[in-house]
Amino acid sequence: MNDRIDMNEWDAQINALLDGELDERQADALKAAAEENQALARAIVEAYQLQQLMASLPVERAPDSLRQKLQGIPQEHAPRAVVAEKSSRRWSWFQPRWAMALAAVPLVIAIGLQQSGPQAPSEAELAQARQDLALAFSYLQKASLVTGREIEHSIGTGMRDPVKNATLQTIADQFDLDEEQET
Amino acid sequence: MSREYQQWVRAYQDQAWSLARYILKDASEAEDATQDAFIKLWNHRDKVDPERIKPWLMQVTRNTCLDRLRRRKPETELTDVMVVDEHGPQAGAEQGELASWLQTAINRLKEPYRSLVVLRDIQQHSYEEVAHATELTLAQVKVYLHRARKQLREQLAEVRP
Repeated sequence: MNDRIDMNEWDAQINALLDGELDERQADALKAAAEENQALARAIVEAYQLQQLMASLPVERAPDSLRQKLQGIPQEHAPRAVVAEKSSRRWSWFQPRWAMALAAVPLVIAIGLQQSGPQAPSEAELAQARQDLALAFSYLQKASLVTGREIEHSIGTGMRDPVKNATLQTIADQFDLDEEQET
Repeated sequence: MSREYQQWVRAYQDQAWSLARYILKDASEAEDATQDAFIKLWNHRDKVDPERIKPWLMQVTRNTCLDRLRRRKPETELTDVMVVDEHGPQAGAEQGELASWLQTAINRLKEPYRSLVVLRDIQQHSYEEVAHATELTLAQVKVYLHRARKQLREQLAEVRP
């Protein structure tokens, strides 16, 4: 019984020895006790062997399928946030004042035409209308290019150009129509 | 941030996977649990202290595995009782056989002993990291690890000449 109690006490010392937590004096005391106590000496050797054996067990390599899944998590699990962010960035230049300006362009032209009645608009009005339209066109073109890049990123170049060209053509048609109206 | 995440994946994927394998004892489930843990890491990447990524990830991996164990065997897997291994290795076993036997013996330990042995003695994490990963105090880690090692040592003694 006393031996068992002693061994329980020694076990704590053995663990501390293996973890490098015994100071020199304590380690010397344990060593001296082991020289007198065969069971203690055996327990120290077994604990050391177990520690070596456990440390030699390899950390199992994650399978390739898992490695691929883990690397793909940023793409798999953040697309909504990224798309929303990209979408927001894509239109960040498109401030409300520009939206209002764009919406106002046809209105300005229409009012100009209506007010002038059968008379042709003045050169200054036409120049202003052209300037407004050119400005609107340049921003729409910029948006279209960004859209093209997004489409290319998402579905490849094969689909990019038809979509982008159709957008540009619609804008260009509108531009031609306005010019016809002016004449 | 994505680059940092990829670095964390490279650094810790094997350890997380290995821990999940020991706890769940099922490759398919371990793969799912490891993936879940890394998804949580990605989703919380801005909130986790970069210096504590490893213990945080080990804690999440372990908790994810324990949740799966609870769903699988709610009444048996989480008791804080040491299991007695009824199948000891053959006397005079070779080193490779000993390693294989030891893995089986570790697998038969109950939680938290199994996690403690894997994290501390196999993967060699610091005591502080093990305490964080297992959500135990440092004193509890030492006491439980002491018991786990003793259990394994007594079984190992049977095969040593």
